Amino acid sequence: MAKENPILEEVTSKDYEFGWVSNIEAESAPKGLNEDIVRFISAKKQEPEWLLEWRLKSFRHWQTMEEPRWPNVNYPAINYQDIIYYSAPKKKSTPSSLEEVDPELLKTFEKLGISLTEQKRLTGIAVDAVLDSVSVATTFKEKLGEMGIIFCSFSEAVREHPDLIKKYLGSVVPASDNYFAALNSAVFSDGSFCYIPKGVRCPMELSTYFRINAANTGQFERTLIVADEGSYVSYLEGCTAPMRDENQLHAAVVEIYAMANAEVKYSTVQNWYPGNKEGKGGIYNFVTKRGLCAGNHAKISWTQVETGSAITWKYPSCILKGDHSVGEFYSVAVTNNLQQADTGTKMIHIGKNTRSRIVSKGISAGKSQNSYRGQVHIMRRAENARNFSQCDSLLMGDRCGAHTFPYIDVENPTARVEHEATTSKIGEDQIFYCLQRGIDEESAVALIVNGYAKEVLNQLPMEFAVEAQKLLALTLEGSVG
Amino acid sequence: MLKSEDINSSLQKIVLGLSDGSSRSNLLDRFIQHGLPNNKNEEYKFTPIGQSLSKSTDWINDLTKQASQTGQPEPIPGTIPIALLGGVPLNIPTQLPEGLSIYTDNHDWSVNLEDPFALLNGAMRKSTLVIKASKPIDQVIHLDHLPCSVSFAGSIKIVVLKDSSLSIIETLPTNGSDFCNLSLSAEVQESASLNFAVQQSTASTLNVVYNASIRQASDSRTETFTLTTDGGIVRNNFKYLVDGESAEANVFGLYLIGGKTLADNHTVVDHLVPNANSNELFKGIMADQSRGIFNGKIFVRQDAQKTNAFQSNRNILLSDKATVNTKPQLEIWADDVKCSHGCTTGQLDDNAMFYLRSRGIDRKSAQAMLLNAFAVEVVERINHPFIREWASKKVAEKISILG
Repeated sequence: MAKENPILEEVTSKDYEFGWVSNIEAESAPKGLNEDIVRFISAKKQEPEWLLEWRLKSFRHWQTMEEPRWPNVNYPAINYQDIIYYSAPKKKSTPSSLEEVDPELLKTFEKLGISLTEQKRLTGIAVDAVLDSVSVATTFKEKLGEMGIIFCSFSEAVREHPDLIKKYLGSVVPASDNYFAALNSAVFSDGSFCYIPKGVRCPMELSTYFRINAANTGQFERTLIVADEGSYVSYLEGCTAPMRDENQLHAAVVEIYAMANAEVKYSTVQNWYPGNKEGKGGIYNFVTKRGLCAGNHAKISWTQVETGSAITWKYPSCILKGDHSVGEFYSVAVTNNLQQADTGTKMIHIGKNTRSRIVSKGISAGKSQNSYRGQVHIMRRAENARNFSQCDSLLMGDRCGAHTFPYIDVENPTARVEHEATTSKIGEDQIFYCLQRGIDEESAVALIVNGYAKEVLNQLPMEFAVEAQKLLALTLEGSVG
Repeated sequence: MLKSEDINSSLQKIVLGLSDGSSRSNLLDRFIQHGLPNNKNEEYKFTPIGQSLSKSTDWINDLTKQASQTGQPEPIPGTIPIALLGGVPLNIPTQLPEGLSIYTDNHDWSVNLEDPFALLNGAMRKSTLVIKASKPIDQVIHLDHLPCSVSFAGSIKIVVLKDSSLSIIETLPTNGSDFCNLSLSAEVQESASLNFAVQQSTASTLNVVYNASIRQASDSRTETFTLTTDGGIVRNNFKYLVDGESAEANVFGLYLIGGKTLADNHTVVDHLVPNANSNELFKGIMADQSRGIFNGKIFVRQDAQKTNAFQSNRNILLSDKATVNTKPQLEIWADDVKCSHGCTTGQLDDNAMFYLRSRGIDRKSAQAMLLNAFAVEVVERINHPFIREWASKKVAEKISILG
């Protein structure tokens, strides 16, 4: 306990710690969005004709769509013509190894605690680092390559593995799926691609680190994970951004395709800049994440710790198509000051004997609004489907709000669906107990919150769990007393 | 499908010819702004009542015409019976207990402005039946809607004055066609209590919308029970404004449906002040091709500290063509509260079934027994002995048909 205290104290006294800007020369597209911009991005990436067509089709569809207004969040209208849709660190030539990467870039990631070179030597995590919209470095490529695992930037995958991309791009999240997915499909600039071959168990955690650096830009990356029969992979995603007065848009798409007996575990620690205490600035995090259990006995597990962003709006979902497939969703969403979050999941049961489990822990503090929105849909032929959902809210202060919108649609009489939700606050007796033992109020809150979120934090890989715990304490700093 | 303009103009035509046409068309204009809801409307997503009414204008009736009675009253013994035809009382007993007054009001234009059908009800109802209690009234009032040849809108206003109590059972027409649009508004004053039950058991040709709004003052207690067993589309909007400290709202409901019936219960329990309680329990059994919908909203406003609000919804599907859509929604702006909701969907316990079968009880009776046990949990929560007894009889009758 005594050992832990200084750490918590250290973190609780800090503001947003990733708020600096790196001076990296960047090459950008002009502001605004039209077909020429889409062509420009595609040309920059030296993409084949079919991908350009796909982008243009998405763009044309996007133009016919309307921005959704149903989420429980408020924000001024976004001017889509005022955003730079492409910004890339300038580089002389494509680096063939890590040594050739711009040292300023490496410094940026070192500051973030993602030392690409060091990680290569020391830890067992392969990282794909994405700055603004472009993947800058991927580590451990050769070692993974020996096992047949493909882990590279999206643009590289388009060049090297066009068949795989052509087959799976948009297979889980179609370009026309929703407003922001269509926008992403038109202008996505990079992202990560991962393919695990048949029967291979990926020996290390794969990780993508996203960073928005340039001003006025939106980040639109795309992640595609394909797990072939009987394979396993654990994937991590982290993100930060500099402090800026304006709101920046982040509209990403993550697609997971799991074949028979495959298992994919996707963990996110989201820490985009949340804006200041008056709610100025911050990232709009409008993300579409979806996994498809295409084969029998497939399993997809989402774990997320959402602490950043002015507005978080995402629903990592599972389509349980294969018989006996399993979907899981573990989430901690923390909002403080004027942050807003509308997050949850969708579990679509199509196959027989499919199972899903939802554990969502919302924490609202300050003047923030935190919503859980989820759907469990048991389709007509999903015999013996099983779902358990639990969504708890913790309120800190009387100026914040907690909302729960669970949609439960059952069309099969053999289904068993359970949903439960509770709302609570941190008890004065709990705080008193901690104070008695010399733990100050702020640390006590961090301690209690970590206990409350433990069920979810336990699902995170070791390295992330530590970071997530610190983040929780940091986000809630100053919310009591 | 008719165009909304056609429906609007035939509604306007009826309203404008009446002597109180201006008050009516005021409400009708607001209805027209909403229009009939469609599946894009979140509140009516699964309930195609708007689409059903867009098929023809048969449900739009000339208010000057007299409706004819197509069935006999079925008074519940031991109650004060009031038969209503087309929403208008046929007889108001002259001998009423002390402290109870019942009369019709032709100039009541108060409606819930949020729901299109409540607005339509305001524009199209003939009169409002007012029931007022100024003392505790022991005898139960039975509002008996008679089978009616035409579509109609009916309205009831209940006022329970300070320290008084009132209990009412309302039964919907057992037969009819097209559309029955009902509204209820209740005001329960300090330390008063209201017990209210409504049975919705109508023909599959009749669609029903029931809008209820109940406001509670401090130390008041209400208990409402909706029992939906038959009909075409039956939609209930029950709204409880808990607007007094130590008030208590008990919200119970059962939907036991088969055939192609769609039963939709939307409830809102809105806690506006501190230290109040609400308990909500809804259960449903869906057989054949029926669809059950439950949407329970609980709002706990910023000042409503120390609120206790509980909600539970349980469903059983008996057929592979039946559906349930449920959405228990909890929205909380105060931190020192105890709120929870739970929701389950499942089937009868195989072990329990096996136990009964192994003791020589046939499948049908065993199933009925288990279903009855499932439903009776709601009935047993009803505090009023007369209403509880009446309800358990009605539930048992329906379950013997469903099982």
